[in-house]
Amino acid sequence: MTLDVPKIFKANDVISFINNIQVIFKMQESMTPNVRIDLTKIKQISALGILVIYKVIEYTYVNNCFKKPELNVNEYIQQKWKEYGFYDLIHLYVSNKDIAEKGYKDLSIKLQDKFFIAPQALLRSDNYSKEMIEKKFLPPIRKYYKDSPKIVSMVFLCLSEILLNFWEHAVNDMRSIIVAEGNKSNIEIICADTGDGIISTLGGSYKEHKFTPIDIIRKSVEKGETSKKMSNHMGYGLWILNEITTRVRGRLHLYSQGVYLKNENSKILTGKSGYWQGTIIYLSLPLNNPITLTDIESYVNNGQIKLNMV
Amino acid sequence: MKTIVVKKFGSIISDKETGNALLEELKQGLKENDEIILDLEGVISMATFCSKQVFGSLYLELGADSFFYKIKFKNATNDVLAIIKIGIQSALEEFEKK
Repeated sequence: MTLDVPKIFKANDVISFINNIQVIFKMQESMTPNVRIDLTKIKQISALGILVIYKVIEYTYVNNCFKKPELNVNEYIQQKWKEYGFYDLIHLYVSNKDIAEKGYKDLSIKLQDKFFIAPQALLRSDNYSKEMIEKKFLPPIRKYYKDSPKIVSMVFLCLSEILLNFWEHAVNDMRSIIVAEGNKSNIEIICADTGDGIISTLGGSYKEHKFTPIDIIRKSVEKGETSKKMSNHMGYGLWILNEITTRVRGRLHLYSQGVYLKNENSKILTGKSGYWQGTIIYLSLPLNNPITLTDIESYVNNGQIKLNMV
Repeated sequence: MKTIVVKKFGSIISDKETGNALLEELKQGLKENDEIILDLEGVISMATFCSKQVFGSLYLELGADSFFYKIKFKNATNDVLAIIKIGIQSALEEFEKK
């Protein structure tokens, strides 16, 4: 069996990639022999592509899907792994997955003409993730966009909702990973896990309805839709991301458990895809006209709630 | 009067444990003080979940008038204030549904 990766792997190639590899999510502990992961055809890849491929490699190694798989790579992908901070981690996985767990902590951050923040694991069980996010993930973004407080505000609003969403729906073995990349005109934030996924978590609160997975993923970006009703969860996280994406004409992609949602050019598309166990969130925001909560009319609300300012 | 520097909890408040810690410090402060000043200097954002967890629950517990007189905000950005109001509003709506 060969797992292929497309020559060009960018945001719009995720569905075809998931279609190709979805079989892995039925291969836990199967130790299938004679498997080849062929990355030799890749000629162009984005941070999103790198992260998704990494999650596939990680998943198959951690879950013993394959017996001694053959991992074929070309110079380009190795260079990209180095550039994006995945090189050592993938090599650790291939050599010894137990060591790889520690490899997360060696990942670094690069600030060049653009910034790229190497993958950060959202491991909820310890303080490591929070400290990494606070000390290493956020400061470069703030520094890079220091001339535009509104950009910082928009980006941090999105980040706080993404992080909360992944942390609060996480169990220890979900291995959520977040990366971010940006320049003066655009920022991309990508988070992926192989945990329960939006469809099963949110779908649990609609048991009385006969919603399809496509209905559920569409509802996930509506205001107030949460898998944890009557709790502090408000179901605003994905709605806020979607509102901001629409208003700045950015791109928001969600992939989860056989369906996808794409917000592009302020239009929402949903459909079926191959099965991805867990969730992938891809957010790409142009920065020429940043939006914050106070720009969203429905939020500048409630004259009845008075806060005492000093 | 006690001042709580919220930045010590992080420049973004984005997880339940941090929200709990802030809420506990607020409640403890209210036991010993009539008023609390929340200094939000350096706090850039807050997840809406945490806003509801901290400010929504406190607003319901104290009531609108008491919340206004006992909890004071300092150095907050308009966006953070908007998030705080959203959290309170959500808690109020949920309370009304019960």
